Amino acid sequence: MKKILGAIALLAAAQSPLYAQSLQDLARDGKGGSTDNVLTYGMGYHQQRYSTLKQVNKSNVKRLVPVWSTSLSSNYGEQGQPLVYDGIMFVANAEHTIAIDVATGKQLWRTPVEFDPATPRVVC
Amino acid sequence: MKTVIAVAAVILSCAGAVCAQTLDDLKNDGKNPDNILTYGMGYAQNRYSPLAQINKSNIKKLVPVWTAGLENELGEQAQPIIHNGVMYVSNARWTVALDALSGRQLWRTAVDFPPETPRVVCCGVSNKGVAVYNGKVFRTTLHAYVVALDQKTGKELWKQKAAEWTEGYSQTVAPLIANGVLVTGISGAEFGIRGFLDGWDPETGKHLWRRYTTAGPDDKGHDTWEPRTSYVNGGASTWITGSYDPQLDLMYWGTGNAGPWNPRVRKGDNLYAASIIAVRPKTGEIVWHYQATPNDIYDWDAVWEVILADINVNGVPRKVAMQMNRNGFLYVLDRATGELLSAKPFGELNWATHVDMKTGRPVESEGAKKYRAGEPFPMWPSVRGAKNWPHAAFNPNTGLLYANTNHSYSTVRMLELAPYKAGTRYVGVENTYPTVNRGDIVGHIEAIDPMTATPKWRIPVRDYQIASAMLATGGGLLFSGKHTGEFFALDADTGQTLWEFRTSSGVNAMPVTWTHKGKQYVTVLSGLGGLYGTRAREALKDVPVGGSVWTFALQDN
Repeated sequence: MKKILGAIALLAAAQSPLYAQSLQDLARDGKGGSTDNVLTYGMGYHQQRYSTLKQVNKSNVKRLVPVWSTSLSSNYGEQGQPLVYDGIMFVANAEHTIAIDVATGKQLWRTPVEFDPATPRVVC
Repeated sequence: MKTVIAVAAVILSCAGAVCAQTLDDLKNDGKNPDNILTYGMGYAQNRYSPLAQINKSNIKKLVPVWTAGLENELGEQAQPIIHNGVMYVSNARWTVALDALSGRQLWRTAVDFPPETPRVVCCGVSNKGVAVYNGKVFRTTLHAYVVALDQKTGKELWKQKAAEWTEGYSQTVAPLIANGVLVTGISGAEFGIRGFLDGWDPETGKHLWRRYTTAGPDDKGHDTWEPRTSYVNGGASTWITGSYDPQLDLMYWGTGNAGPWNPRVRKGDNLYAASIIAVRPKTGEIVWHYQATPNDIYDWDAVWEVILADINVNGVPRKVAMQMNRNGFLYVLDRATGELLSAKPFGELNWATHVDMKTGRPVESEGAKKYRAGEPFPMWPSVRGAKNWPHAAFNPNTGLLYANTNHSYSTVRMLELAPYKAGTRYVGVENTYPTVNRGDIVGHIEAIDPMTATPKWRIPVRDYQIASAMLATGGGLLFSGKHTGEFFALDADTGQTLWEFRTSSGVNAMPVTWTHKGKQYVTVLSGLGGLYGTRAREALKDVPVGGSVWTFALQDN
């Protein structure tokens, strides 16, 4: 029964407009949009990289600790900014695009990028 | 001026006896919790630390303090060694020295194994760890070389070939230093090798002795191979580090399955395959042996850790050696004489009915006899065993073993045995596993009484078997890890999970605990690999590969 309810909930979520973010969501990112999400490069179209969040602050930052980690299985380097939407984090490097559950760090999917192995010769 | 003083201090500390650990340091490992000098956290391989700073009441405040990438996607199984504030870890590709307090890398030395080597590796391309002694770090390589590195710089000091990898020989074993001799084992019993132990001079790399673990024409037990020539490809690998009793001056190594699995070409008991052997480190002499599985047809390696302890047997204190064997029996032996004291099943098994305590031999079941005769046999435990290599811990205060055990069967059937061909699999048995459905119980985490082999408590493990060793502490805790990445702590009295943290990849290694300036730390390697991580790759497709070291401590505040 629990399983069936789960399936119904999922179906409902998929059909509701919440499932796919809108242009309006993107515009509101970092400007009063939900702090549960990070939808744009620079944390807002204005690229201010500023968040109003202050739960982590000067008085308690010493207590900041890792809660999970996940390997990106790449030896080439990581420069990506994570995006977060609806509890899922999206991360990219040269080799993979990866979706991660934000609460647990569990990998949801990973899609390889098949670039021509000769490509790095045109990369500065 | 400051620099000059610092340099002087380094020279001073390294000139003293403090810099290079001695044989006494190795014997006393476990007494100075700042160091972890031996495989198993002490020659007795109890994997128990009396440290209690991290305990049941504060475990929820355990947090990572540093992590270090190991630049390796092949899997991490090693136990870290710690000496004077430096941590030494290894995998198939690298030997790495890290500052134990900060995780900063001090040096990293590459292992150059031929890229084709993995074709002679049955169960994951990995390495179980290093040994340290007298200013040197020792390790084995996948292509069967034994290497000594300078402890301060990582520079190679000597390198000796143990065997020819193209003939199926490989090494993942952590070396053992016993009575001044560097002792190494070998892998490859699925490839028709002849198993052995080697003794080396740790200073020079000079080969001191070789003890073959299948009895040849000049060895006692040669008549247990029929035809007599079958010892040549008889298996009996030595791929898990032995324990050591310095008072008795005996090492306890287990030997692997007889080869090939199909016994058509090797009638007889096949000594010393599937046995525990007590060996003199200076000479390689086998002082006593106990064969758990005569004429092994099941892949019943007896290489799992041989745990040394002093326990009460029928009210009498005895010096014992204990092993939770792959075959499902928990053996307790007198470690001076090899006398069998107990052999009770700790897991579900149907290949034998019991062990005859008069002869010390297992009594094979009707099902096993049919398997020998050529019929398919749904065998408990599965070929992976009632327990695989992930080492158990023993707490001398509770007198209990703590282990990750397996609960599964597989169906075995004799096949036509293809003729031996060097460097290729030489098995002749088909082995099929049943489908594991979501939620199926595939193993247990349990606390076991050694003499009765019965659990004091046990917790079911579902979906994926655990391939991480156990660590027991004086804080009433057990530490281990899962293929799905969680490193966890349990209440040693009940098995209840008290804490867990998801590391960056799967955990199939050996946790340790240690101190620095009075503060307790816990370290484990993360990096999916090994037998199960490799075989179950599809089921574990959402666990990313990539090795790293994780060190945890209680949060200050």
